[in-house]
Amino acid sequence: MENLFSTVPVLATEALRRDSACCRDLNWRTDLPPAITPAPVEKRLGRHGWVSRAAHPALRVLRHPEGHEIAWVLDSGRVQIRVHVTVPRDERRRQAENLLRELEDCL
Amino acid sequence: MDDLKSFSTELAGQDTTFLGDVQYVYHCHHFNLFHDQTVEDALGEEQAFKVRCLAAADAVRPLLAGLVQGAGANSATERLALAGRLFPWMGHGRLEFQTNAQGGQARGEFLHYSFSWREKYGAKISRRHPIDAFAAGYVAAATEVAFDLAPGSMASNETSCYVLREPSCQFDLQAKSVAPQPPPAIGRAAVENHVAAPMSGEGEDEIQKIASGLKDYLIGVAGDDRGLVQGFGLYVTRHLAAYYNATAFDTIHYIEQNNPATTPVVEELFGESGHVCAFYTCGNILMSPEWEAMVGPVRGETEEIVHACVAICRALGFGHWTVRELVPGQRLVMRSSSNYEAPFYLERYGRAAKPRSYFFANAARAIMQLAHRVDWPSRPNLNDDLYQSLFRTGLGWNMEQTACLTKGDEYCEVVVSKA
Repeated sequence: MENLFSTVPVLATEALRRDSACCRDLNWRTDLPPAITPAPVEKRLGRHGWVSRAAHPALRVLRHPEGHEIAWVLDSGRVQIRVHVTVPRDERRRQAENLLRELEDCL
Repeated sequence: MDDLKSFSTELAGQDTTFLGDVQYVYHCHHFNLFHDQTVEDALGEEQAFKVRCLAAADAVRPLLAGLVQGAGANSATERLALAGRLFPWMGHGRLEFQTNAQGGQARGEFLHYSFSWREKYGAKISRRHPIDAFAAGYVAAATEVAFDLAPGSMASNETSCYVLREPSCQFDLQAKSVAPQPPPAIGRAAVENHVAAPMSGEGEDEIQKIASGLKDYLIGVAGDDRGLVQGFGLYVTRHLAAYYNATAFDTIHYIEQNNPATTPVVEELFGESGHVCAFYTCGNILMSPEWEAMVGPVRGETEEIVHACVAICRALGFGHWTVRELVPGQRLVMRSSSNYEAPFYLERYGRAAKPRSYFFANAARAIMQLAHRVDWPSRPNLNDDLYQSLFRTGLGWNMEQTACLTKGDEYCEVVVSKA
């Protein structure tokens, strides 16, 4: 079943906030509504080259072709957008916003 | 690189991990940089590079020799290819070899030490000396193993380094006229000889369950195309215990013999690497989505944080650490039947006159700090500013190693009490 939010923008780049990270500005947090079903989202992201990196019943971790990642806690809807460490520091937020838009397109 | 997972084993009940016959642990770049900086502070940059390079070659050689044998890699080309695949699996970046039995060159990209040094410090300070001693030693050992050369017969030097703002790292290898005899490798059997009987402590079932889940997850974490390994949102290395031990203990012994008045300072700094590890590694794992999914959101209770950190340390291969006594706000007693420091010390140097489990003891103190001074529900950003405020302005906890395997005691024990 497709999720109920597929035509509704549920994310905004303003909502993106720093998440704890081992390096400055690498990890960013947003939250999805918990009701979103992961499989269709994963499938759409897969069409953009994202691959599943870790499978756990309560978690999805997907990797972008350039090494960025999304870690998604299914129960809470927490999403951590992980910009690859090779991205220069002052471009990390913009990169995270781009990844957020890509995720939104796939909801 | 999944096939390398099959070479990873664990000593039952001891939370120690081996790749082939060689013990390895997980550490992040904050710990690695701090540890090696301590070697540099004590010995000076040039001498430190030599010590680190030698320790790396001695640690890597038995690992590669074992993997080459296990994989049936007979030709030098196959062996160098295997070495080139292992390095990124360990999260150290990428290496290309152009070496032969007489020497040659190697090229490195995204090397862990230079890359992470630039990431952590590059905006603030410059460095004047190459930093990738581990890679230099790795290249030497790989070449020796590939061409069946005498151990220790290759000299390796980093001639170009990313940390010096050069585009990539270059290594020059030359055959030594006289090959020094390397110390015997410390393999799984030796480690097994120097651990105590498995023990349990407070919260054992919970700690065991969490550690088991984390281990299953960690071993499946693969490196990316650049040879960087990300787990729990952290960039980590699968690193060799012998490297940490040889660099730390050789440095401390040198200082004890040549500048004894500064020994406490050097010991304190190596101990502080335990604080660095607990803060950045345990802390960021606790804050990660993986933790939230596998264990649950962090509530911030003292017992919860202590048990969680002990479970994380077990999962990272630091040893079978247990909680003997925890009185929130007052006291923590941790005991371990194994850690990654003691077996190496006993095997290489013999019984110690004083406790030598610097990392274990100081990690315990840092765990108490994390459990009492961090406002976990507020989801703090675990950055350098918070580290400085927590660990550089008075810890508020005394620490004493009351028993240590390196002294011949039955186990390691540390008592952390309110100052």
